[in-house]
Amino acid sequence: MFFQLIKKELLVMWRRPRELIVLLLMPFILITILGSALGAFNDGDIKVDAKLAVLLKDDPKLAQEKAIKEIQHAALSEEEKTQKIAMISAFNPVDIFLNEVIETKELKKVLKVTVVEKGLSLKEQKKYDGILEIPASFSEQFYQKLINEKGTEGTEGKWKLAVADNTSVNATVIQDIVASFQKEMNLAKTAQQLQVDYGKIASSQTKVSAIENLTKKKEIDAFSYYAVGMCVMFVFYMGTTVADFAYQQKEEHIYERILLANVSPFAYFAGIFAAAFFLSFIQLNVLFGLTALVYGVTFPNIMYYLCITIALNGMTASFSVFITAISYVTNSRNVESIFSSLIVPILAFAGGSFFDLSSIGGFMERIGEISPGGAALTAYLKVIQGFSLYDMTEQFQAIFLFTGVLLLASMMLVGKRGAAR
Amino acid sequence: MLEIIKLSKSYKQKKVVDSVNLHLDSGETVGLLGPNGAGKSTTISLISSLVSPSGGDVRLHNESILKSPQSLREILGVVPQEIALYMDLSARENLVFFGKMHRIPNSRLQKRVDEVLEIIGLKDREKDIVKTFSGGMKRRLNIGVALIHEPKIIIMDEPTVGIDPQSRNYILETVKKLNREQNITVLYTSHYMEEVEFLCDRIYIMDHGQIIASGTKEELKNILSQETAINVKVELVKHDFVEALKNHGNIKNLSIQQSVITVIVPKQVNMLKEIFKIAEEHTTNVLSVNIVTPTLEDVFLHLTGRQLRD
Repeated sequence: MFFQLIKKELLVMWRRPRELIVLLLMPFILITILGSALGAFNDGDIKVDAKLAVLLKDDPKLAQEKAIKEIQHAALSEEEKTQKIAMISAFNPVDIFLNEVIETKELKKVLKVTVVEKGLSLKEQKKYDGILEIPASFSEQFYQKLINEKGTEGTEGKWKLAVADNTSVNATVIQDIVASFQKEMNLAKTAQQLQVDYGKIASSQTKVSAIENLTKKKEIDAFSYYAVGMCVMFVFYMGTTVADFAYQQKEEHIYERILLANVSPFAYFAGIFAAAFFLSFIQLNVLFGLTALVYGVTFPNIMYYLCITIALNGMTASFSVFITAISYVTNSRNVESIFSSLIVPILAFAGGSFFDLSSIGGFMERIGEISPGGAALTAYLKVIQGFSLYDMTEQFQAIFLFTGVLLLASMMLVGKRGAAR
Repeated sequence: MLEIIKLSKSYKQKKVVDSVNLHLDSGETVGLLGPNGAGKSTTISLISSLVSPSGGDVRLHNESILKSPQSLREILGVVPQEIALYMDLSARENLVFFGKMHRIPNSRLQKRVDEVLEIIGLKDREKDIVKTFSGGMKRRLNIGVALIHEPKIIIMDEPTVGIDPQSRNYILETVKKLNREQNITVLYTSHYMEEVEFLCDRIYIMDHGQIIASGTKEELKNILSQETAINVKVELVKHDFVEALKNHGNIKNLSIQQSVITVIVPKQVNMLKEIFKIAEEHTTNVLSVNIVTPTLEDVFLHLTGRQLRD
């Protein structure tokens, strides 16, 4: 029966060119227009523009001098003293971080660092994507460990990093840089034990790994963004179109005829779900296939792409069933009109289909990430950027939540009699 | 076979179907006659279990089907008043779709679709999209869909509304053939008296949600055995002339169709003289006067005080 409902829906759709144009041609045209018109603005922008405040409570120079003095007064041979003083003079972690790592050409493009010595007010904190606190006596303890050669496991005061929004690209970049640098610190200590020139190793390694981390998250160009944005928006129109067909069946008494064939209302609505699921699956694959062919927008991991597409198809199908259920209960075609002319554009706007909400940031960005369309859009973009499926957990949760809520509400609306009359 | 007992339906305290009693015996064709708004379609929806009644019962082979209508739906075909078809599908695609909904096995379905296409005379148009069909062809396919699962009972709700006389005759002949050759029990609703007279063994007359008379054609006509219908054709229907006729003690009912005024009068009274006298008093030119045998239309007029298509 489900196969027949899907087949019928496909035939009806195929014989209505207006719907086909709206659902397949229109998004493709919009991708072309928006991609080329807004691409000039978006592509010129640096996607990552992280702001980091470094709260420097430590005095590395003083700690360095103190360590050198200590070595000079220590009961060591002159050769050992010279070697250790050279080592300490060459290696100042705070100085390397502030004056070498973040001053590299590549990092300066994406990260702006402000060094402060006093705590920031709440208002000032909001200006930054992250605040890194280097505690007092960090350098002193660090040098103590080096002088006393007590192994690589540091017990010195740790750097504390606080980021404003864990999910933003800016925060990810800051976290990556700090984590990479700390990793290099451990490497440096090991090198020191082996009497290798760790200063050189540390600075070069940090640069490389930080840049590697950055390039792993590929930038999104305008065509990719709007390909995803328009597909996610128009898949909801597929939902409203299927709901419209379904309401037409009620208006024309076909639904009653189907009920008289001993088909339960729940089976009928499950058929609408199956039809909307299948049609939206075809629609998304046709649209993404076309954008791949024409604009080269591709998904590096096809399995991730399929996972998101299937989840989004499920949500679209639930959306369709929900609209159908309301229109059947209220006996009104206006329901579908309200959804297609008002709710879908609102969802598309809130989901970031028209422009990147992360450029606004804050509440709007958050809404964008967890709204029905926004969650799917964010997940697709993450696949293009090279994130793992695990990084999309929040988006999948949002999609499944919406699907569940819509289905539950539909079941309650349909009830036992199937909203027949 | 199918029994409807005191079936009622109210919407917002308005009774649209009021204690309807009706029964269908196997193999008979029964007419449900009534003007628009009489409650015929609601009664059909109640019988076919699409609407739950406010009171009463529907019994198939002496068992109530209200709680589980599946047994009735299996043997029931309903032809709705509306064209309940997919306009973007072909005739065959529509029949196959509804056949699948009825879970007819593939091995049987294609053959059954061919049979139905033959019955409704659309074999040569089976691949054409329904929206390209004439009104009569759509009506025929509407009947075909109701026949696809070989029902034992078929309920037809005004299946000839808005079609040309040729298609109408085809449908009436088809219904008669289905009843005669396949022994299908038919409940046929219409407000066309001649259709019901042509098809039905028994007739129920419905008005304002109630069955006001029932029986065979002869039994119903006997209601008027003591009355005569007189058709008076006038040059111009004058209000005061009509009022004078209405106020006459021997005239039981009066109806007007264009320039013909029909009055129902007791058989034993000679009303012709009286009618000419009233016409003269109100300066009305009488063109002709006919005394006619009462028809079912006259019976309806007698029972309800109005015509079927009022």
